[in-house]
Amino acid sequence: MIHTRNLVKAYRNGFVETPALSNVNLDIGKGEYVAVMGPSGSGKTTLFNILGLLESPTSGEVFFKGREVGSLPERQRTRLRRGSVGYLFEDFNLVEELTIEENIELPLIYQNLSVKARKSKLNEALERFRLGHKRRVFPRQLTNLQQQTVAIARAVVYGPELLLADEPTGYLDSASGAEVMDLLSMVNEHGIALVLFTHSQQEAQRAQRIVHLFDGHVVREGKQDLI
Amino acid sequence: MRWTSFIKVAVRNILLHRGFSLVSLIGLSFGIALAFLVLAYVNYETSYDTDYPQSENIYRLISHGRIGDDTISSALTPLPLMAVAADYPGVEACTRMVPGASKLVKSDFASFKEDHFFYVDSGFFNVFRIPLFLGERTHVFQDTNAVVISRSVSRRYFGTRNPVGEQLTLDNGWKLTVSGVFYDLPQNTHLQVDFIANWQLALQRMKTAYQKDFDDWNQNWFALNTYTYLRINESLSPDTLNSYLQQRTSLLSRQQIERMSGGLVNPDLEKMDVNTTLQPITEIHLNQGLDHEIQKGASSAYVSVFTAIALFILIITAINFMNLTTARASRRFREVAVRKTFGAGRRHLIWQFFIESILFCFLALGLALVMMELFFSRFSQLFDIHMGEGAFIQHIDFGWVVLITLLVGIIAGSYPSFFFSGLHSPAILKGQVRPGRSGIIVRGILVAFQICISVALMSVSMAMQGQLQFVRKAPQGYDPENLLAIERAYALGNRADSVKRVMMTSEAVEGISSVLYLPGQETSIMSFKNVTDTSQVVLLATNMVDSMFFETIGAGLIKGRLFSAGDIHDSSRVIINESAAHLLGFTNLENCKLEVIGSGLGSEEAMVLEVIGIVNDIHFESLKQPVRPMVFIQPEPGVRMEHLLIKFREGEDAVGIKTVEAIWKNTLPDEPFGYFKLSENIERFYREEVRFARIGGVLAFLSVIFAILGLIGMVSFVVHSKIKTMRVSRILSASQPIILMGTFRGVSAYVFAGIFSSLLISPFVINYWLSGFYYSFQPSGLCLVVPLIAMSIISMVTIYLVGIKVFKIISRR
Repeated sequence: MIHTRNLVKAYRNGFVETPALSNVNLDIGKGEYVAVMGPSGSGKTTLFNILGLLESPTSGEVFFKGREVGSLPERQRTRLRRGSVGYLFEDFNLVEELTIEENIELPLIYQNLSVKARKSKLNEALERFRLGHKRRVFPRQLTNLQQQTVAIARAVVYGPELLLADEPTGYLDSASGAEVMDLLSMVNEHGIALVLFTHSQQEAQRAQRIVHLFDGHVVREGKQDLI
Repeated sequence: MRWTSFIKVAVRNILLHRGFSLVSLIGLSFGIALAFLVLAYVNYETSYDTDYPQSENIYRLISHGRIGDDTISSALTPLPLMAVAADYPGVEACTRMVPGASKLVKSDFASFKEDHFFYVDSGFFNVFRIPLFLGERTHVFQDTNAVVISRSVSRRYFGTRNPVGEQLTLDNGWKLTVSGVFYDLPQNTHLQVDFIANWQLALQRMKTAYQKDFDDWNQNWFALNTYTYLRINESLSPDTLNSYLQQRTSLLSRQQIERMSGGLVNPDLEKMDVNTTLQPITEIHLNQGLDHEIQKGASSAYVSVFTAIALFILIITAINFMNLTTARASRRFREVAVRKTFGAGRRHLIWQFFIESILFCFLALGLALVMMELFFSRFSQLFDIHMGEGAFIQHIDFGWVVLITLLVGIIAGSYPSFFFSGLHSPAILKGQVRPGRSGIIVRGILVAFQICISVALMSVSMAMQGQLQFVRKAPQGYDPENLLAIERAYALGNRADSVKRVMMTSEAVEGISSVLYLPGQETSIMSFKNVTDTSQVVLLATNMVDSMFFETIGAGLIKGRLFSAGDIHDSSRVIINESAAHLLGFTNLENCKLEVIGSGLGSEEAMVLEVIGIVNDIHFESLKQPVRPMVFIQPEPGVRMEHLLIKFREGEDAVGIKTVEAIWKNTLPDEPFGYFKLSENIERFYREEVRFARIGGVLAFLSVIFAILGLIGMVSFVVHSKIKTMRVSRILSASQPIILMGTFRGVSAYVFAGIFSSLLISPFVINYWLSGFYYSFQPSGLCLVVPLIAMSIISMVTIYLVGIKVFKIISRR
């Protein structure tokens, strides 16, 4: 599904260069559930951005469905992620000015879909995540759990093959966090590859494989039971 | 759908951030309203004389030439010119027009004093194609005594009845028969005509007046006494016609000179030359500078300045909107980042912000239209602009309004579009993006520019007021206070002297005089030969006054003597002003004589006038022009003296007016008593300047408001970009003033750069404006320093107050 080879990312601030990722080699298969763990500053967010085609690596290669995408210009990466990658953030990142249904529909308006197809996908997502009764309310009128549910619905509404979740339970209490993790498992069961970036050992244990990052290096990687 | 989504977000943004949106909306609406009001005025001024059918084919002939060392540039033309033009193939119609004097007109039902009376050739209606409400264009001038009147005149004199066939009686006893009624001409035409009488009628009168010299008068190429208009065929090139007319005029005027000199070389006559040029009627109003215009037009320079002002307002308004939109950029960062992450391309975001900005502009336009409608009459009043009756809506072209609003929307949306669409989404989502240094520099430059313009406008406005004070108080060569002019004094006829004597018995009256032209009126110009130096031919403004004029008006005698009331020889003597004495080189008055050029060519002797006195210069025109060399002649019996000039004693003018009015009504019970104060005439000189100064003042005020808005935008932006530093300083117990000083040091630098750069502009603009005056004041340094200090204080207070407010709001968040 997505592979990285000798991935290096460094940020330059004036004369100072800060390495964020060093020689990261990662393979994520179709429909796989992988957790990426590591402390703050270990490079999780950088890896999230590169795997999500939001940033280009400094060197190394990123293959998405067999095609090298790391060196693609911004415009092509945008086109590529438009239908293939879903994103979930710690603070939900819902657009305050849009209603729930408009937030969920937002990724669809950048795909050249007919109104009918768009409405169909939207209704399907609303039904699947039981948000139909909230479709016309604004994010600020929802609980954090509901907001993250909306964010999940938005992330998968267009049927991506890969879903990247960055600390999706960071703003939630444990019960709500568990519900969100259940929803993510359900999404994964529908064949969408899931990469979970988390601090939580407990959440990571739900994944089929865990990758440990430290100072930009993959220090450990393996099946759940082996680690 | 994408569009509806963009619009939806825009509307939600406006509703969600109501306070901020309201500030932006009011700023934008105000700017748009003001710009459109100014543009409506510009449109009005530039659309003069365009309402006549195919107005582009109508031309006026104007005269150029020289007499001696003086040049002639006049809207009047010689009488025989029309016949020359009419013969040329492609000239469809021609007409001459001679304005009638102000006169009292009576019908069986009403009588009024009328100023817009013209005698025209029968081709008039073929040239202008003014639609007739009653009557046939080809038949209205069949009768010599026919007169065609406007609809408003018809209503005034005849109410709702049909006026055709009805009679109008003029104050000279002539009876005219109404043969047609034309639709009222629009306000924006230089031809303000209410009565159109037959040229043949004027000709009959001239035949009586000139008798055996009539043919000479009628064929004289050196007497400019009529306006000539023509309509040409579209296939005829104006340049070709111009060349033909110039060639023919030159030839025919030379032939006249040869006739006048009897074939001999006469150096005086060699210095005379007259020629003609075509002028499109649509260019008359804004191309002033000719003598003897029918109506004073507008300055094309002022119209250009107004256009520039309107564009400037629109650009500043758009810039402020940009500033305010991007000042609270952090509020939109998340939305932009989410959109980008989920597949929005740069193009999508650019469109989104353009649509938002355009939508906002159209919302502002709605509010602006309401403002314009509400303030249109106030605006017209404040700026003394006469755009005719009706609402603002009638004066604008909606196509242009939509187009201009769209452009403002595009300009206003350009920076936010590219600013937001260029953001890096991963960094925003992690909260790592704050407005950068380049954003501050761009805003700083814009704010500096706005402040610079504001200070410059304040300086210019102060200088304008200073100059207007100067021209109002400057010595005019006479004392305009307590001077009253009674109009149509000729109606008194041979009772004038007895009426003057009765008026003089009033204790309120200090002096009284009969005079043809008063300060503020265009005098006639005549050419004279300096008899002591026969090679000198000069053009002198000529006025007819009685012996009491100089005492009444309060002009001082410099040399010689004034006219004596009882001296019959004074009818061949003249008094000149200082400028004329200087021009003629008359330092003493021994044997100083002037010969009227053109007299003595027939059987009569040349008219030679002895100069008996020199008086100080009297400003008959505004201080924008130098005083014209002028000669004062005593009136011959029978000459229509237009005015009685009355000087009242200090503080007695109210009583005096009542007294002289009673005397007038007692003498002429049927004649209306019309008068004006001479001091009001001086104000009329500077009407355009007063208006311009008033507009300058309002614009200066508005530009300060705009600059403050710009400054608010910049301060908000700086606080957003430096919030971290400010918070850290706060934690480290730095005092609020220290934090603000540290944060806004850069902003202050831009403010002062703007303030001081105005010093480069203001003196230049002030000098340019003052160069339009022949007499001007010396602007003091206060014109520069006061605005500079005022703007510094305003800016610092704005920075301080807005800085504290925004800092508190952000800190709370």
